[in-house]
Amino acid sequence: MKNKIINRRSFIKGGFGGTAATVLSLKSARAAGDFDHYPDSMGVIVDLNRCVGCRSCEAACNKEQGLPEPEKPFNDYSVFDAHESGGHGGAGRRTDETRYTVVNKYELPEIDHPLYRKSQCNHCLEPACLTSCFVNAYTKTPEGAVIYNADVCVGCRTCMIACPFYIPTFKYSSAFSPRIMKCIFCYDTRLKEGRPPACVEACPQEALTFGKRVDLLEIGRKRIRQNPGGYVNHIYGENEAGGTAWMYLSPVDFGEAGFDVHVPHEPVINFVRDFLSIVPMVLVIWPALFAGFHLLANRKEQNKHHHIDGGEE
Amino acid sequence: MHNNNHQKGLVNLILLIQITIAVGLMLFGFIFQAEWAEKFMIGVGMIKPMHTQVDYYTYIKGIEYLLCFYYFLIFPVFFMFINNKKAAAKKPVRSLQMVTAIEVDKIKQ
Amino acid sequence: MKLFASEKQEIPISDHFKPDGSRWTLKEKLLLGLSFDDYRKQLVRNPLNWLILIIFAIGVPIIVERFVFGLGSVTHGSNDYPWGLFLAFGLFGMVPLSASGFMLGTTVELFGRKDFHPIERLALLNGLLGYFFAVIYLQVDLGMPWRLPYPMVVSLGPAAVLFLVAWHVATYLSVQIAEVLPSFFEWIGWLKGKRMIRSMVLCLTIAGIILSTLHQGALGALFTYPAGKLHPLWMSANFLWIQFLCSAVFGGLSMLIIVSTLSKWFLAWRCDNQFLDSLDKLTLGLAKGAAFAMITYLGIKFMAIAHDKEWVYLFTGWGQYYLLELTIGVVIPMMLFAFAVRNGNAQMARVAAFISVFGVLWNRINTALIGFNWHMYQEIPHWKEVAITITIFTLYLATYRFILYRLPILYAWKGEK
Repeated sequence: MKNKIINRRSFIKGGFGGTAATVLSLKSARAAGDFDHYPDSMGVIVDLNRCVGCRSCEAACNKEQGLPEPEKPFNDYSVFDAHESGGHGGAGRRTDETRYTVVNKYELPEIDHPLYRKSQCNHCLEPACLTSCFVNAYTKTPEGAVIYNADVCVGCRTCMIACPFYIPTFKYSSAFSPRIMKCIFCYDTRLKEGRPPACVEACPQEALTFGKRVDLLEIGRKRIRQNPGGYVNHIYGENEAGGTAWMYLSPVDFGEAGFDVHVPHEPVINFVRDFLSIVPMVLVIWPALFAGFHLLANRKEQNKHHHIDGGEE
Repeated sequence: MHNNNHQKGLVNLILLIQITIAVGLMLFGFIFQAEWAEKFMIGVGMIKPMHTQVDYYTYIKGIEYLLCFYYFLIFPVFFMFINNKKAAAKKPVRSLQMVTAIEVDKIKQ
Repeated sequence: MKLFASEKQEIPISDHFKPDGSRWTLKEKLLLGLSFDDYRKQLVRNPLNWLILIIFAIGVPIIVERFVFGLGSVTHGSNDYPWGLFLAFGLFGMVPLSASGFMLGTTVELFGRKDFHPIERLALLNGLLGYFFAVIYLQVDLGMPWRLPYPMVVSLGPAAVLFLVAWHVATYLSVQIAEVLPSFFEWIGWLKGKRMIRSMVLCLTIAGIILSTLHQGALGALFTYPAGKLHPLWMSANFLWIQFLCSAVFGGLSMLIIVSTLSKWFLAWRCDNQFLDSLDKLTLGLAKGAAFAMITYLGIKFMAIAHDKEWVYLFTGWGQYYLLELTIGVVIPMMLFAFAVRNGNAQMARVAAFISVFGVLWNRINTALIGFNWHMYQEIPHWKEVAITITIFTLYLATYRFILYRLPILYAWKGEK
């Protein structure tokens, strides 16, 4: 990043032609909706065809992130049964303050074996949590992770409202040091050094593939092309919520495998942009508008005062 | 009352001058591509490659609200400057004819 | 208190001096001119005070529990419904009902409608207390309430809608304190302070309009984040903010009609004749404003549906519920307001105001809780959450009454002004 700035400076120094080019390039780079999204950022593609529901990823995540011991051990597969799913309307288990990732089972009539789906933070390219946070507690790193800073978090939970995937969870059990609990792509311990996250490393089935997001898209497309009967022709996460770093391949419609297929295909900030552009307009226009109304409405009275004042002088 | 107004005017004037100097310095920096201006802008995060729309919005909104803040400092001063009844009372509204008449009188004399 | 006021000549206090020419002390002013025993007697005699006591006896321990054992101990601690009743009712409901402050401030100070003056201070106080207690609700709900000033001083996230809410509510709260202060200054007899505020009144009023426009709107815009989670009929990326602002206009005016009516019913001893005599006429004036805001609101509600082409949803169960909300919460009170204005019937306007306030609260709860996660299960708040909500609301009413008893809100100060 530093390099780029220095380059730009020497560019500016390069006279008029250079300056004009800089301005142009800046302009095009900053036109809304035209961002390059950290071209070298990493991601993971999850192949539902390969997942056998062994929960190794859950166990690895728990260990890596130092999360509390679960009630049932990770080799207990009764957690997949519907009655274990708790009060979530039969939607299966979800991430919470004790687990950053969960695997859920889906029994579907059209395929002979159950389908398992791992869920965790999808690490959006344009994170909704980040843009909704009023203390800037979230950061999208160039490596692709969406990380969280508990030191500035106020606990307003707007990120949980904003996240289209219901991922951030809150440590409701704590009164004095609550915080948001969410998958951070093992950023501190692994991703920063270019290593894959713990869950990917632990997967015995290679259901999770780690790599550059651009390459993963290619891999995904290739798998679909080579086995058109085995996959639906869609990579979940390619465009969902403006694109995510974690993506999925599925043999059945994504809705049947517990995915929210209503997630808009544009970044969440697009829905808020309209209001955000109105704010400075109101801030700049209202003072003169209402001061003007005041002058117009009180003209008569002012004239009266004026005459009286004039008389006294 | 007069004295009070006078003081108010002075305070306003000082404020106005300060803002003008600050804005002027910035403009000067921009126009002459001064290195310190650029350093300053890098320092406050005004020049930074943007990769995501969300970061871009954090940046532009920050600048917008900062400008709005300055606007709130300038607007009341401007309002009081325009809407100063005392100043208006001293100089009655003159129509073009009146002004020309005065000028013609002067020339005649 | 009614009894004492009719018995004794010198109370209620509305002047610095007793009839015999000596000055009231601050302590006497606080005790409403009664002796300590008399004051206690009137407290004990009022059944409302017993009710308040019972509510506090149940609610305060639960509030303590929340701060000692965390939010999870008093709410369901849901990760699907991160915002519960504290925010749905306390923040999203109380703030629009407090729009009266900026509405009447604008009417009187900006447009120079001095005929609304008798009710202006009540409107300002209603605004101030509404906001103040909205912040209290927020403090109960925030995970780390001691970090409330963080978005202003520690770490700024200017692209967030909540950033605007935080800044605007904070500055607007200070503006409102400044607007209510003159009545306090009159009461303690510090006229210099009052004159100081008077000299800035136009500035404060315009600041009030700007801040109100934006944070009422911002509360609505907050619900554009869960664009896919909120039911499409309630969600509108372009119109939601103005719908919230517009419903705050009639919500605030209706709330003002309610509090002035309650004051007339239960605090008549504290009101002066100017307030009591002009109230019916002013109520109709407010009703007229509310009716205009309501028809505008209906217009933009349907405009939003047209804009997002959501007509098909109107033929579902959700659509029926949506139309029910609009009919009961807006159309009926709007018609009542209109007839009230036409026939000069202030009582009808009061009935309409009660329905309309209910309608605004209902809309906010529909947006924040019922229409939210519409394709999921429905969250029903924990009983302790309800108890805390009621306790804080009771505290709000008690504070409201405490101030109305004393400060020159419902009456004009007879002493030097």
